[in-house]
Amino acid sequence: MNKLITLLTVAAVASMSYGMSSPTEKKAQTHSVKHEQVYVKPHAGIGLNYNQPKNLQAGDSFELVLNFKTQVNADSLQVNIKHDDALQLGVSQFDYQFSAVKNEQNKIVIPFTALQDGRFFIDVSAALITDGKKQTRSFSIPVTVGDISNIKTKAKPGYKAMPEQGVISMPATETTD
Amino acid sequence: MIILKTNYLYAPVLSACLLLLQACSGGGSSTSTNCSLGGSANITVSGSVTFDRVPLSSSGALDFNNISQQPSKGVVVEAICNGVLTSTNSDSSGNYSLSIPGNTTGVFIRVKSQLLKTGTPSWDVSVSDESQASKLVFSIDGAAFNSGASAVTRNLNASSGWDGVNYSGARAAAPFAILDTIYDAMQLILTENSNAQFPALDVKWSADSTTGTFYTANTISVLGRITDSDEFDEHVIAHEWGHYFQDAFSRDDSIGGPHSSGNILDIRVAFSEGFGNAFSAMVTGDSQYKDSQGLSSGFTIDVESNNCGASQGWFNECSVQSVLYDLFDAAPDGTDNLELGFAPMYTVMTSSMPNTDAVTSLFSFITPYKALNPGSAASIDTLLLTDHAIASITDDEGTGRVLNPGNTDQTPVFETAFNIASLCVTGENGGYNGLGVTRFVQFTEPMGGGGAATFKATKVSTGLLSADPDMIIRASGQEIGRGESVVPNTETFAVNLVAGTTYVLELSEFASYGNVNYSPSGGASDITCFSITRT
Repeated sequence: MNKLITLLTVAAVASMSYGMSSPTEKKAQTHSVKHEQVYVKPHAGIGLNYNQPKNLQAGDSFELVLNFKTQVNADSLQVNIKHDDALQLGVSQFDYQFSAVKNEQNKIVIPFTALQDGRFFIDVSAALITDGKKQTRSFSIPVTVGDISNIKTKAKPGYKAMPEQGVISMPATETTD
Repeated sequence: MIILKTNYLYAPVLSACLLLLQACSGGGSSTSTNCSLGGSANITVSGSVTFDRVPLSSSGALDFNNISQQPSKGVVVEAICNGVLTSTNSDSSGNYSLSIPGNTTGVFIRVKSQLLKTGTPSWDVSVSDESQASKLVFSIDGAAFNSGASAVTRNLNASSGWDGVNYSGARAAAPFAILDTIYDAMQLILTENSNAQFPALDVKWSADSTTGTFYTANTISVLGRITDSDEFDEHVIAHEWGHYFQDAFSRDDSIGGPHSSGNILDIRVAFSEGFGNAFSAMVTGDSQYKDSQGLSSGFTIDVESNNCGASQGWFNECSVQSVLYDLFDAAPDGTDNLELGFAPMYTVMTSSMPNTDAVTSLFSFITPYKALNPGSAASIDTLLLTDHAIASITDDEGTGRVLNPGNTDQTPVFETAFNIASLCVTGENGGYNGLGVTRFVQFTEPMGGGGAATFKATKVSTGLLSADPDMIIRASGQEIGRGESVVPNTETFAVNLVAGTTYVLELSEFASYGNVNYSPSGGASDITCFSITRT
């Protein structure tokens, strides 16, 4: 009996461990990203952390938590939220205003329901106001719902992919004289 | 003047439109499988290539009320007849000229979003669709026509796609606007090196792109989604191209990461980003850096400003950009009476900085810069001290820097000998690329030395309960070895050293301070110290 319990325990642990990265593997993956040396553009003194929605299906609800961190002192922080129609937001307020003290954190909670499959966005515009002057930083939070395997192949109007010629052809306005 | 608008007809419909030289809807000229080469003497097809430039207002917002057509300089122009018949580049005024057989039917002009020049100098810059799995370069295609027996004019314009309220058409101008800025950036380099061989550069953009605007490994990614599109933001494009310049022609030890003017940064990051901002002002001739945010907002940086606030210093990109721009520009301000142009900056960045035994920073820029311009050295010292509280820089290592007397977690910039009883790293200036997240030890392997060496870092203080120290050793910026295990509170690795070589060992804490989202507590856990031994 004891041997059976031991065997089952080992099997259970093994099945749980299968497919999970070891701490060493996780660190190696993170380091490989860091060492790519990615140089981004400068931005206004506002940082944003949020819980990325994952594995959503049509009909699912999710509570998106936006954590803003002010990196410089300003008169105020203004935030505007926009969203794709396929995401039904559970808030009636889309404009927010906070004080803006360096290192201060402010939170906005946005519950939403995904209405259909696809790739959608919640767009956040955050602006620091000082003496009436705005410095804005924008964020696009992607929300993937269901099966999007066909999304990338849809052609956008006005763009014609011609892989045999190596181009994406767009219309020109042409004059002759 | 006859105006043609090309969309995507299929060939049979196109033929009818072609004969009538009327506007066609739903085009097929881009396939041109029905082109027939004429047997007559060659004729000249010429014209101008332009794109819609959407300027930015003083607040950085896109100004759709003032769209203008600008020449598309140096782009690839092709005559397409069942394939590329002949090609050329537009000139610096956007004009082109091609010679094709007379009476060729079904030929059309294609302009590719590509700058291509072979020989000396040389470059190959293309803007391709970020959303495609394979590299597809954007193009604008004219309508098919009969070349006839005499010269023909075909002018092509890439439209913005703006309908007065929103983007509704193809944003054809976007890739050409990006190339226009890059063309100008290359011209600045060519003023100092007319034989420059620019490594191939890929630019990735699409109308929906949210990947980000950044440079990495000979690729520039440009945001396209209208929440924060960057194709018309000349300073942004020039800033990223400045990173390409540092990578291709100079040396950049920066570890990258997010940054803004108020940050206290790793010295490598501060210089790299400050140079990018200053360079963008040099390329555009506009010291007001602008970045549109959405359709009606923006973000701006006054590169000329000396007011960098409480964060000013050798670790701050605002101070770096201001110093570099003051060295370059002709406009006196504050203590700046220097007007040295781009030449000495180019010389230092291409000849001196790549060889520094330290790391790329304001120190390894200013030191050779003063040596190159000895008559201006005193003025440079005054500029640094008066405008940015930076004491005289006398070597690449920034010797003599002191932050908050008694503060040992950020200075000295370089430790210089082993064994080290206590070297502290800190997350108090932010995770990943804040000043003090990485500390440096510089040492020269003595003649007669060299061979195998083992370095060990061990936590010797409170601070983080469980720290994950990492170490990397480099020589002239090139990695020689690293230790990045997950063993808590200690790290050991071995490396072969060469006698007479100068190395820089980097110590950092990976799990906490190395996380870009690390939030300083303001307490003891923000600083952790390690001993480093060498055997």
